[in-house]
Amino acid sequence: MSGLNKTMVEKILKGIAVGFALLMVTILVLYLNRSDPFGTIPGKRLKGEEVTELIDDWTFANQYRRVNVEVRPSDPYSVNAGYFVDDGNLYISSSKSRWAQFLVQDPNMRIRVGDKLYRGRATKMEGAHLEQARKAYSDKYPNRTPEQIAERWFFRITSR
Amino acid sequence: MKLVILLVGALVVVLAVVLGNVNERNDWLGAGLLLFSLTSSTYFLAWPVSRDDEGNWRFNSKFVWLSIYLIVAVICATWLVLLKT
Repeated sequence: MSGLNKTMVEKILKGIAVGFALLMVTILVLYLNRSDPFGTIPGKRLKGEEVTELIDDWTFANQYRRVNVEVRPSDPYSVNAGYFVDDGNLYISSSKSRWAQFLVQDPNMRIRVGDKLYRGRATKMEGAHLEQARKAYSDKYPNRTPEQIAERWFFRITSR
Repeated sequence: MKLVILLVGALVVVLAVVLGNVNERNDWLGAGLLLFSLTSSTYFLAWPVSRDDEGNWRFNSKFVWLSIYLIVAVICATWLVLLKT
């Protein structure tokens, strides 16, 4: 490669590097100032109109593909979460991830369904309730194997 | 040869974006970027400081470009490792 070509390649690479640097700075600023979760990246305090009335029947949640869960009220940590509704009760489940462990430590949480936020308390399912939750989960997600389901934690959300 | 590897990396990135969009599960995008950034970094191999003709220590501006590409490479490598674990 001639000297001129090498210089040209280096110029192009410098331009691309400036682009990378700007992109990294932008992503860093967005990450540090995030509120809502983005994909698998956890967020902080969720935005939205908070509903104060108590919810007895969560069936309306079925119209939404996913919900956002905000745990650890002292230092909000929010994620996108899979959910299901069984007999009007709202359940969320996790493969023992970080947010689920926060939820075990402090069951007070908020959940965003659609564009509204609901204050809730999560109860970890055990015994007969766990079996019922597993069955409802496998009905909604038939492609999950029993082993995968057995590894998951299930929480029932009650409005507070 | 270096230019060919660079172009292969760029091609993998373009194809990965066209076929798989930009998302965190696109391992071809990560691999292409890793190849591209590692090869690019070889164009800017330099120490942070070097002596000039008068023997004084001077900051080497090439090191900035090297750092950017190495940071991108580390991010891509971490991304790929996290995808595979």
